[in-house]
Amino acid sequence: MNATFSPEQNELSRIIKDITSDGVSQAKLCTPEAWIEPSHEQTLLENFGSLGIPEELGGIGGDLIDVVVAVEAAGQSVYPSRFIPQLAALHLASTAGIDVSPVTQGGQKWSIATDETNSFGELLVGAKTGQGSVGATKVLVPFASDADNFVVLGNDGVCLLSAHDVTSSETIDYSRPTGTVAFNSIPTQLGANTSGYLRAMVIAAAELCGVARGAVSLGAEFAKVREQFGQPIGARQGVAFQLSEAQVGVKAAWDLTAYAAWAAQSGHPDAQIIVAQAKERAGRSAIFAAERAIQVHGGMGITYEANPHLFLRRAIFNDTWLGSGVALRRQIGKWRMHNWASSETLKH
Amino acid sequence: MDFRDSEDELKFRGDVRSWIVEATSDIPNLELLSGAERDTWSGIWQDRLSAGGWVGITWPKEFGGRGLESNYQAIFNEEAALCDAPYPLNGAGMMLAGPTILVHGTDEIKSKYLSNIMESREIWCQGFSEPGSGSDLASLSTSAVKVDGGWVVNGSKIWTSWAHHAQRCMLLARTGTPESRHRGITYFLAPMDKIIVRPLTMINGDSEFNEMFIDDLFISDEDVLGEVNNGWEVAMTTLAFERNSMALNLWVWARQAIDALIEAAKERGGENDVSLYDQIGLLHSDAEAVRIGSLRTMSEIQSGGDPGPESSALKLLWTWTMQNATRLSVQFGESSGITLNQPSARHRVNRYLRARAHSIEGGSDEIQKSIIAERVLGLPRSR
Ligand SMILES: Cc1cc2nc3c(=O)[nH]c(=O)nc-3n(C[C@H](O)[C@H](O)[C@H](O)COP(=O)(O)OP(=O)(O)OC[C@H]3O[C@@H](n4cnc5c(N)ncnc54)[C@H](O)[C@@H]3O)c2cc1C
Repeated sequence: MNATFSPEQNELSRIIKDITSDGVSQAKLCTPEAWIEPSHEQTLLENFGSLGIPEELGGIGGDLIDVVVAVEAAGQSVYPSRFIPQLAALHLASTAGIDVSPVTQGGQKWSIATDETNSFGELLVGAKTGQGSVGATKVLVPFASDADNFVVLGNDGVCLLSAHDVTSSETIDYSRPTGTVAFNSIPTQLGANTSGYLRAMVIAAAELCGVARGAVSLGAEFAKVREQFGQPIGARQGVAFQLSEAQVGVKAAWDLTAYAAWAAQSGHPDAQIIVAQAKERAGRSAIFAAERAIQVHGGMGITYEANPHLFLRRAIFNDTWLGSGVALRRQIGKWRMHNWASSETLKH
Repeated sequence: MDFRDSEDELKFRGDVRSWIVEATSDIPNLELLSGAERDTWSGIWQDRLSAGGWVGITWPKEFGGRGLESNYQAIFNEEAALCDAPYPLNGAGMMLAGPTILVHGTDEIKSKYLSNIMESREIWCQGFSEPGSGSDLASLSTSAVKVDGGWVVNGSKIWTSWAHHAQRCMLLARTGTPESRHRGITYFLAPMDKIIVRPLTMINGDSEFNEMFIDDLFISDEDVLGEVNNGWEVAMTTLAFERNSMALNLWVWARQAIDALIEAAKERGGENDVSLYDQIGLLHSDAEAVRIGSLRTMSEIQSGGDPGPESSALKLLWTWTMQNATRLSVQFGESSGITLNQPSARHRVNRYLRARAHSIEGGSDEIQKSIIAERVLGLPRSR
């Protein structure tokens, strides 16, 4: 057994944390009307924008564990970048055999279009049915209004499409602008392999892990300095234990996410469930941690002046995006009830 | 990063599994038995472990062990849990006392005790907690007073698991001033024959643990483990071995608790209940987090790290999963969940009540949370 991160992975985490260290103040600048590009956006995209995409496909290489390490680090400061959604788009595309060089070499901006309204985890739209034009409407598409192309997930494949119509939609998370995108055109590229969706979900889970960790540490830092009744509030168990419980969730989510990255890239036969449980847990942990951080901040936590709400926004957004936690829990439970017996590998 | 067994681990696991399958083949479903019958099987199982050479997996070869790293003990325990093997009657001897003696014992102590543990001739118990000192173990007040050639001990211990079967006790007593806390404690290897043991009945009807009354018990100087007044450090070694001994079986128990819940659901026609899917989905993720977290902790130890407070998080998550799964399997049946005529319902209620102990034994939930608050989050001390 060697389930540890390598020294290079620890170093990667440190580098990304450095680049994204002002994420919270950058996220704070974003409003429902305007997203502001964070100051180190280009550095991040140029150096790490195609992490985990093999070099022969135009990426910078690295494996999916490297990807979750980097994404988790950026998540810790709710960095308001297109880095994470675009990385998810590239992984979905390249797994399906779609050439991603327009992004990695041509400087195009791509986004990922997966979620549908009320689909409750089941995609209703086909990507390549009929082989003609694809008609679909996708929601929660990040950075939709200035994307050059969209990697669209259907129930039978993945395709690259340009938008027919983009309506930007205000969500709970201003620092990640999204849109509803209608498609009605012939794909420029398509592929049948949809398993890149698992990679995209792992990426979303990793960001949630970072958000959870960042929220706990924000809460803990405040609890050390804020004094009431002549003591730091963190010396009281009623305060401290909320954060300890949140920390338990941080660890659970991160362990499951690292495992999911490993399972998705090594073709584990139960990868779908392993990824689902990571995403489900990570959403639950991030929301819990962010809510605790708000509570620990007292009245200030309920204002725009303090930062915990930024973490809650990203947490709720990502919990819903790329397979909502509510739907995933139900899928996992159903599978556990009915299909567990046939899962020899997980039973080990 | 790799979550699979190494080749050596895989081979060891295969050997262990075939041995356990064979060695448990005549053991009945323990949950259908009385506590006394279960203890009998624990004794038989202990003897089989000795005969099979599985007692000292991590002990050096010169003491009859296999000289393997702690991950092999963990794999053995994991396989035993997966096969529903009985709890070994001398778990405290083989996994706590023996390894602690190997770390802190003199040659005389090693030769006096280790072979008896190896051959399951002497059963051990752990006499740490006292009526006035549970979470705050360093406040213990059982006293040991120096006399010629040894010590005279007076006091009482409580919640001592397996004391009713034991011949030896890892006994902590105060040898410093009453205020000396952890600096004035000594670790004794005490004979049990003159200690009065009174069984305590747990809320599920089992008698796993006891109260012990110690009245002018003489313990010779040779039976002090480590230095006088340095017993705290020795006790911490024992507690670390205790955590290690559960490294890979906690997750098995969590998974089995969910299996039992699903069995209950199917028995009562609830297999298509979506509200149950929602709750099982959540429990399954958490049980898997315990499994993966345990594998990562194991790997961390293998590569020379010290997981420390991480194990507090795992224990909390495990406890919640166990308690929530066992509660749900009782509640889900409505009236049939709490009516004890059916043997299956009776086990579920037993398991549920037993699970209440998980947030107390081995360091309570509150103590685990304060460890995380202080050592992971850097918050001020709150206890
Ligand atoms: C099944 C079982 C088996 C056991 N086996 C053994 C054994 O073999 N040998 C042995 O020595 N002991 C054994 N124990 C004892 C166990 O270690 C103690 O019960 C445990 O340490 C708690 O101590 P206590 O019962 O005195 O509770 P207390 O310490 O009195 O705690 C009571 C409550 O107060 C809380 N509390 C206490 N201090 C604090 C604090 N500072 N901050 C916040 N909350 C606090 C606790 O969390 C708990 O909820 C066993 C216990 C159980 C349940």
